Amino acid sequence: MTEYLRKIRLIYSKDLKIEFRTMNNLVSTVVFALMLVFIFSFSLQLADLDLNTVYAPVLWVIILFSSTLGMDRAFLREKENDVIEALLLASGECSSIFFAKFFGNLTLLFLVELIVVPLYTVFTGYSSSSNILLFLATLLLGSWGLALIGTMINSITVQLRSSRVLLPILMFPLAVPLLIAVIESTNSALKAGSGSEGWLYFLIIFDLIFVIIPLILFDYILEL
Amino acid sequence: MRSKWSYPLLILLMILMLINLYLIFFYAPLEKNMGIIQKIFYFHIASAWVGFLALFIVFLASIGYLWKRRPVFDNIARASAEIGTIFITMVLVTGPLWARPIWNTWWTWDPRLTTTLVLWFMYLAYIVLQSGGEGENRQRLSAIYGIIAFINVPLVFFSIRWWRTIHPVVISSSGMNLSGKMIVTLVFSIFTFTVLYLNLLLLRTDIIKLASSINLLKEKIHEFNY
Amino acid sequence: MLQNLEVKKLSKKIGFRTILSEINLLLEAGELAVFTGPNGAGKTTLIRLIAGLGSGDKGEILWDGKRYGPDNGKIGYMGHNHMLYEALTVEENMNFFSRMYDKYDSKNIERLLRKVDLYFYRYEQVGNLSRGMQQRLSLARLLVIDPWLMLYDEPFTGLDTEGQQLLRQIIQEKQQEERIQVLITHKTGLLDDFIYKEVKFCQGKLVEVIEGRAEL
Repeated sequence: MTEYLRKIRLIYSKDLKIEFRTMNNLVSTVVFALMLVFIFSFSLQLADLDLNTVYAPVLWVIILFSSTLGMDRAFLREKENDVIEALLLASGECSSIFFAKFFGNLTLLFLVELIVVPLYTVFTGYSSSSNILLFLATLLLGSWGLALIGTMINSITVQLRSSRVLLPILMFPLAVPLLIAVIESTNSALKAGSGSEGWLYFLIIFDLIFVIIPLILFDYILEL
Repeated sequence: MRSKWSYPLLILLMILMLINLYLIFFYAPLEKNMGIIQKIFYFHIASAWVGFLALFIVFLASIGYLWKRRPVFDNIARASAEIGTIFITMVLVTGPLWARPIWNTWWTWDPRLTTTLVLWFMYLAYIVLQSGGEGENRQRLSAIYGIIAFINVPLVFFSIRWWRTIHPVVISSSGMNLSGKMIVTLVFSIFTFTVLYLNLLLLRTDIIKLASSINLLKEKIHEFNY
Repeated sequence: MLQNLEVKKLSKKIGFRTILSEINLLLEAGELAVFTGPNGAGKTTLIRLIAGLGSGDKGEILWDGKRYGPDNGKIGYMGHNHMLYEALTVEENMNFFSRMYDKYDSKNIERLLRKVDLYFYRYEQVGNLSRGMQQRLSLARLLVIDPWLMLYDEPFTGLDTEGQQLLRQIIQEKQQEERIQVLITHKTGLLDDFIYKEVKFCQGKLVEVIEGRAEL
């Protein structure tokens, strides 16, 4: 088990090193997210809506869209020069590669959220007392689930030729339950006092299911 | 497979279809509130049943493919997904047609309807995936997606249902009293549609198999020319 | 140490096409097997299956009579591509792969990099190296994990004369260390002074095995 975790950590830190060295994925994802924030907050101004009611869904749509862009490239650098084969032989257990990539994607999502959430809140001028703890828990569990689905689908799409648009097409239907849960949970976090944690349990179950699926199926996905 | 089963099955299907139409339009009584519109219900529910059954078959065939690696399982999964898409499309078309005169709205975010819509999207995604690559890779990867998609259905359904119990739908989708004759008709309709599905599945699987053997022959000719 | 590797009735089909049919092969410690045959004969597929990349439809590959498991030792595989991270430096690549096998030892890495004549380039990103250098680094990676079984797929292509000499030297050393080695090549002339088992393939079938071949 420690051996397994050690390998996950090794692959993960290797990915981070490459990412921070080349910066190509991180920068484009963050810039894309910033533009989404701008476009959405600006268009909502034009609609004369009560911003407090649309805060949660729009936030999560922004995160969902930027995540599909960011996670589309997680397995790409393993595909160049067939590095994946050397990595498969080295890892022994395929799923350690999956979880390393998952943590990489999760880190990317957190970085994006770190910039998007405050900025979006400022832009929409959201002002209401809220349950910060529940909000953060939702953000954590939501990103966790999103990174799980994204990593799994990306490991599928990277093996196909026309993989550019395939990730969102395959991912969005799977993300529907997650999207409902995070939006509802964010909503109840924002309405301080009436906050219910019910959706958090749903998110935990969802996240667990999508941890178990790759544990079983990932050997079949990465078969070469 | 084709020569032995398809003709008897086709004849059986024709007989069943005629009986089914008779049952729907003459045997089953008119619903008091909805009138003739309610007849669409027998097609709607039966199509929905086939749509979900088809995904279950995709799921089983996908497991079969990953396990045995026989192309026939992939052919079945692919055929079933295509047929399922058609039936789900029928559900999504007949649903609003039925809802409009009764509830005065084309669409409602009812758990069943929404789940059906998500199912439709998953079918589309699956078909895009199937047409996106070639060879063993494509077959294996679509099999994996077929399995994940099936597991996702209950998650979608329960999340929407829970969401809807918190914010109830304005229009209730229940409230139809089914008489005995109506239930008999419904069950018969479901049975008929299942036979229709099986018929289509056999035909489509066969066509896919023929198409891939034609491709193989083409490849061989190509190799021979070199 | 791995005593023998046995391929038993291994078959593989892709679609309706037979890639490998009923391959039987026994390799023992210290043996060097050279796969020859025309393109598309199934050599690469077989070497990949032995490496554990993909699986056959029928038959099995046995390591000392057992199926491959974590305790069977390690596989070194050198494929068509160099399988290295181009954004990482020479040293970082070596560090990463040696750590993955829990074989990290800076002294040993330095020694190997000197051996393949890349020590001077250790802080250079792999993407900036020439093809021959990348190939040499790939060799160093193979050595650092110290595998029991070494598989080379067309290793001589892309290497310059010195690199080829180096590879010959490594093969010889590993032969003395009683490792099992499998090599695919068209250039059997480069193995003139070796004793090897030539395994000829044609259209997915093992056609002929020539034992103890040494073209003197």
